[in-house]
Amino acid sequence: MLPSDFSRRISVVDGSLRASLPDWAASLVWLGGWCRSNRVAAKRLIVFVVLPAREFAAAFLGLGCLLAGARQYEDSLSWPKFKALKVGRRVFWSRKDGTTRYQGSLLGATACGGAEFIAVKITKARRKAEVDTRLMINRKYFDDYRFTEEEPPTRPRALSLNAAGQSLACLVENCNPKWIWTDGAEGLVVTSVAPFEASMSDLAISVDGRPPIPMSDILCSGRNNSQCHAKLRIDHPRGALAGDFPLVILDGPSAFAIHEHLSPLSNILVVLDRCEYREDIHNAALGVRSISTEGLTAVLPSSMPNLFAPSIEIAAYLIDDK
Amino acid sequence: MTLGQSLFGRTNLRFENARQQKLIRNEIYFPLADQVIRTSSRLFQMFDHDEPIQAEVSRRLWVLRSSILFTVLPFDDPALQLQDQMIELEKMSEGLPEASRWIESLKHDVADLVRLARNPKREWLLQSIAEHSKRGDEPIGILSALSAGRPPGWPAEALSLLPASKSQIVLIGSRRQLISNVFESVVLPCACRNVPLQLLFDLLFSGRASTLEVLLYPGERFQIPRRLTLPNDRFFEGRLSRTQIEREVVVVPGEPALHAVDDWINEAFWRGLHGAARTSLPDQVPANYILFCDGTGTFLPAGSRILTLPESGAINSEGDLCTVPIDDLCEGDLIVLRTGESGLLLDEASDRIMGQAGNGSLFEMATDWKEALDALLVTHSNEEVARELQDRGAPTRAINIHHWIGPEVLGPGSERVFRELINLLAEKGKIRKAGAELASYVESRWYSLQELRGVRQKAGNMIRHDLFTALFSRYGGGSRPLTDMDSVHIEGDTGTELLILRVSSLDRNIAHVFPSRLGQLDDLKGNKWLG
Repeated sequence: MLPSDFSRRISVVDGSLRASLPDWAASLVWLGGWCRSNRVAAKRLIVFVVLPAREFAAAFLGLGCLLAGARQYEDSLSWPKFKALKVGRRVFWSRKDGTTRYQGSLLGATACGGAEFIAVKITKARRKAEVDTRLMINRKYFDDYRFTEEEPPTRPRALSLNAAGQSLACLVENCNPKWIWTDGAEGLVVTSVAPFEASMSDLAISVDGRPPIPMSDILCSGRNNSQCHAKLRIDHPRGALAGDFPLVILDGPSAFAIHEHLSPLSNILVVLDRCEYREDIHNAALGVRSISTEGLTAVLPSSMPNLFAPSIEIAAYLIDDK
Repeated sequence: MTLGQSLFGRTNLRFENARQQKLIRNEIYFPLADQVIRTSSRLFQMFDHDEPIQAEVSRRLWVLRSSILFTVLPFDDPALQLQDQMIELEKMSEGLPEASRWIESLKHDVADLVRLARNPKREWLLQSIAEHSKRGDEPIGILSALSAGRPPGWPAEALSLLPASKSQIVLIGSRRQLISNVFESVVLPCACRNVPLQLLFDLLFSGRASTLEVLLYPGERFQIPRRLTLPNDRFFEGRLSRTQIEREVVVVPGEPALHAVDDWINEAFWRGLHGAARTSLPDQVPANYILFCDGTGTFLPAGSRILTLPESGAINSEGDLCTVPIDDLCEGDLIVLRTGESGLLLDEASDRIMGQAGNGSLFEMATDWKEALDALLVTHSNEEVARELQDRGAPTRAINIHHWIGPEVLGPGSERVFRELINLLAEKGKIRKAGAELASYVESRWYSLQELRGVRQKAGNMIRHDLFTALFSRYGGGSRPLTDMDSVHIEGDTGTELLILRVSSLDRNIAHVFPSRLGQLDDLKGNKWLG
């Protein structure tokens, strides 16, 4: 999750005034990150947040979503990229949890029994018996591994790099520099696009006293119907809403109304102000609660703030993605 | 450093206010007002409110009583016309001998009030304004939208009748005015039982003011409306601190009978204006009534969306034209309306585009399955259909089924839901197709539906563009202020006359009317309910 002191390290520049990140905004950044981070196989997280004011909420939630996405980013190869590598190319891989690390060379792609495989020759492994053996990677199980072209750091080296990274006085610099240039957005904000963009026009964010960056720039946002490179997509409730996103932020009742048309894989975060939380949405929340999965709270990380900023109301439900 | 009065500064203030908001009930000892409340309540209970004359006496009784309880003007102020109101009330109730004793008592109370002239709420308010001014504080907000329409006790010139400058007070006459401000203190001059609920919710729960001061005579009971809150969950329960706006609450035991007239007037007001029933008859459609500031009003389909203009009148881009759901309309909003033919503008523009493309039957093609759905709903409820779709792995809500039948929504937005809906209709025998023929039918209808959506979007864009051109040439970048009513002619393909009207109040309760009433502008000038 986000560093515990992130809210002290971010300041808000509003026109010519600078102030530390208000606690409500910090709570929203944390919540956006929490919703983006917690993805459980075959489940989806549906979260409602009700606030005294909805202005800027989606922007701060989006910022949290980006930070969490950046922290979770793993510079690994996708199947098509992996398949396109030249035969003989040296590659590195490990299990997704970082255990059982290997080095090897690519032997090429093959099909067998209707399934796609890539063959690699193991050149380095913890168990000597595995060296020089051939490993067939089934496309179906490709995501269980993390393949890279760059040699990953050794475990002690990774720890030292991690410590160095944390000592850096800049949140954004914690990101893998490749993350920002990698295709794929961390989230989609469904909102009234023009007011959303206009509200941010005078707002900038400064991290650890660095020169402020306009809020719209720090969100790396782009319209969902354009092919521009963006880490956070924005669309209006009547938009096509195409694409799979780890998190969809539904900003307001009009955005909530389209929730049934979203990909069943996305986590959903619904943002409303107190006057907007009406009977129909309450009934929908009760409906979600009634089908929420019991006993799975332990699946999600428990590192939550003990208390959120007063006046913020949140409810989260984990449901089956079918 | 604190943040300023920018949008972010105001938003931050609202969170601060919501966290520590104080609501102070100021009970002002004033036996005369108490007597008026009791006598008027007694009288109200004696009347048969379904009988026209007695209903009219009840209305006048409420106006008189509210003129006394709502106002911060001296009781002898000619703008209040308390004596004249009493005379009229007495005349009207001559045929009700059982009421005469109480009318007589009320007459004495009103005479005493006018003689006394001194209004304790006014004195409290003036003292408070003076203290605020001494401290150099921000202006005080005073809620003047105390009922739908023109609130009794608050004549149009109320602000000028208060010995305070515009820099000292801001009258909150609409929700739109409330939305664009954040106050240190807002005064609620009465128990607010007739204040539009959305406005009261916003004032109480959205951090619009740090302190809310309610002025109450004995017998007036201010009640915080119940706000829905999120159902508990397993993740955040115990980690959230709820705000408590009632830090300084004096619990006043209430007598419901004392407020029956206030509760009655809320419904009677709208019935008096539009006269429509709350229950449905065959062929009627659900609708919301909008009252405009120029004394006109109209029904629009419930759940529909309407085009609004920015409050400032500064129209610089098409983005300044927003369509909002009727439910989200605020008092003070400016809306664009095509009288008599609401909603048809989009259909006409769509027809034109389809005609030009030689695709005149697209609408029929894309929506012919609606008849089959309509037939299914004769024997199945919306809930049952939604459940069947859910069982087929295409979850949807019952309300959506209702919307798909109507003209406002073309159909399901998800291909999966659409496919299963058509399959369900075929399985129930409402669409007589099967196998490949059914699959081809689903394919072609979904394609047509998507094509039609594209046409509608194009038509919407065309209308927006033509409208923007017309509005920009009329109002430029805010050079000419928008009034309560204006009309604008749209050139180009759209070619029509549109009205721009400012919303006074919205009847949030659904009424049922025949479609012919939708968009018809009622001239309510002179209507007794508007005072």
